[in-house]
Amino acid sequence: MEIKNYHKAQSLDEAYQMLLQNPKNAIIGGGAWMKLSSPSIETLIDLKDLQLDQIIETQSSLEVGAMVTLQQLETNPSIMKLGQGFISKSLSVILGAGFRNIATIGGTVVGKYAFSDFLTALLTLPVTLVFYPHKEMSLEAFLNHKGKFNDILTHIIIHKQDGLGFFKKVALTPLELAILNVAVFKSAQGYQISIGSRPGGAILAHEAIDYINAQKEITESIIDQTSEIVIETVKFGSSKAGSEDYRKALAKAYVKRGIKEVTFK
Amino acid sequence: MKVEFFLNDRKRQFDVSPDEYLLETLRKNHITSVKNGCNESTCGVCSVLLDGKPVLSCTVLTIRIEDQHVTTVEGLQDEVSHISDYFGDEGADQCGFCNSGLALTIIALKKEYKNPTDDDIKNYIVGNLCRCSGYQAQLKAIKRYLEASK
Repeated sequence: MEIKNYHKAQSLDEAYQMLLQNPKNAIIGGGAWMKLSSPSIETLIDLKDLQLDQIIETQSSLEVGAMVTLQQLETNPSIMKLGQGFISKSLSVILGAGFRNIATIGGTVVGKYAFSDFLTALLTLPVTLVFYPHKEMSLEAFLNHKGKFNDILTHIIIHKQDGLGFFKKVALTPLELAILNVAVFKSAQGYQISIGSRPGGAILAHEAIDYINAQKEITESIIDQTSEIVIETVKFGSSKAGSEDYRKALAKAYVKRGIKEVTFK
Repeated sequence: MKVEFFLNDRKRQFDVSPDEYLLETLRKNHITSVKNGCNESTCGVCSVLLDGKPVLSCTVLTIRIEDQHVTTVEGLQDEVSHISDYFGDEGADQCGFCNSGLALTIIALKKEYKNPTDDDIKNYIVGNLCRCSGYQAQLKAIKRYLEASK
């Protein structure tokens, strides 16, 4: 890893203009995963003085600054209540407090890490990403977006919904990356099911979601069928951590468990 | 590049390159309680307190911490000695390589949680690896220390 210069931005516009000046300039979030990518950076642009480390709650949403740390978000009382704690749980399983005090929400979202526990859970909620200078898009649209993206993520807006959430990280030890992540959220608008670390990145299981949300009553056989649709329609693969078949078996079991927990609890 | 921050409550100036990590800066300046273990954000032996919160110094760029407060075991000797007593009593300590980082993380835990459950403690310290103790004796020692500190 090589960083030639460092600049603490005084405004978003200054950061944005610097980013456009040179393709080797880069914004830093927490910098927690930077060593993994061994980048060669001309000027590292830091947003830490731009008051993006706040969580602001309104009646209908939680506005989370991009520089909020994972630990800050995990222990925020409103986040702890959301979906009865499943978002906080998805953050608490990420290494130790020493790491969670460094890694930021912005870095996690922009990094689109396939192994991200948090993104799997967050994807089940209605979330809008706000970029500088003037773009907004859903989290799902951003995760599916291919190609370079020069705008600067400033906030994520979580639109509040009452409901129950379930999150499960499957890993050999607490310090290892997930073999599979599963999240289920149920609100008055219906069910959302998200699968991450497939080993591909987190995605919503749309066919299974459409199926279960079309049912008048949730029975054991409906839950079985929903989990079958998940493993038939979501793409799984093999990696050193686990085979495709193993991931499918895990997904089937934990989707069932998740739906039961948010339905019958 | 020049950067100034408080090291154990004393304002100090350091000359660092933009890609130098805090772990390297501290060890070059004789703060040897901070250990270099995995150097990839996993083992926790390089933990320090940054503005009172535990962070992995192998993952924090020194240039970013202008005017912030870095605390190491060298700056908290009485408190750490107190923790060490409980670790000794419970047999939670062998080679000692992980102790500095773990002790600082426990001090931060004590400030952050009034009545932590076993799961709270485990989630908080899970990033501080120990290859000697097996963790059960550490958990007992931490619980006794937190109880005695109330």
